[in-house]
Amino acid sequence: MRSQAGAVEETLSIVAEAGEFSRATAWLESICNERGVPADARYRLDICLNEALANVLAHGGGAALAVPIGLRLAISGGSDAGAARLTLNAGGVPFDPASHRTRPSPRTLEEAEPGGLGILMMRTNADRIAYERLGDTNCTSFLVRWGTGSSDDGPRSGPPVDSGD
Amino acid sequence: MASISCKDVSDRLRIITLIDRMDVQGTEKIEGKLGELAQCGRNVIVDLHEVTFLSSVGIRALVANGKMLKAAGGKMVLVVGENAAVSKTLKTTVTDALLPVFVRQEEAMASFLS
Repeated sequence: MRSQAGAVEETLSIVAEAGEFSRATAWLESICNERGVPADARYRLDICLNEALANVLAHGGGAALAVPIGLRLAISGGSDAGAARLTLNAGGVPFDPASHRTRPSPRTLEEAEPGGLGILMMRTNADRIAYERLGDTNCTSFLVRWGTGSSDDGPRSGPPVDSGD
Repeated sequence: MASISCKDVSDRLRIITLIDRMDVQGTEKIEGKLGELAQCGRNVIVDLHEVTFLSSVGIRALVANGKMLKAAGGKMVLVVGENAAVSKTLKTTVTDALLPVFVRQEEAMASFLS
């Protein structure tokens, strides 16, 4: 499906359970391959997808498990330069990965405790995270750019994925 | 699908090799065996060079086992080969400050001799 801004958009709905992660990953990989998304950007999107899904299941509560998770992937540009926006619509308790406070990283093995890594990985792999609460739904989107204007190449000024940000 | 294997180099050193995706499902599949193989009274090298995806859940399993091994008097180090994605993930999560990371198995083995 092609959006008004020229990006190709695909959607998928999955049941909120771990067994569905592989279907979501395969969906993401298939679209990225078809659109020529470079391996590094694909990996970053994969991290954002899997960490966000894991978060919904681990911390969303019963309300998160009772409704499907909606996924949308919008990709613009090509293999040289482009951008992808992955959006998750999930139930559960309000949760904004962009502003949630995490513990400082441990300095030794003895200090290491479980938790917080997933948020750190989402933040370090997405060029931008946007969050809004719509009714009972957490709407979280991850923007990943590549090529000219990507996070590896200085200022972020790649092509638009859609009109919202 | 994720898999795990091991090779004993000596009575003091074991190499554990992980393959494929260490996402939620992959880690669930191997973490019992990882715990069993890692808590062996030997130092342990975990080779990740064939890991195609490393999630926070996978890192947590490595760190938890490294911590237990250290408490028992052993040491865990990681090998990544030329796996840039896994190497970058270990750096950005600061896991490399907790578990030493080497490019080659030979370097990792040498670290136990120094």
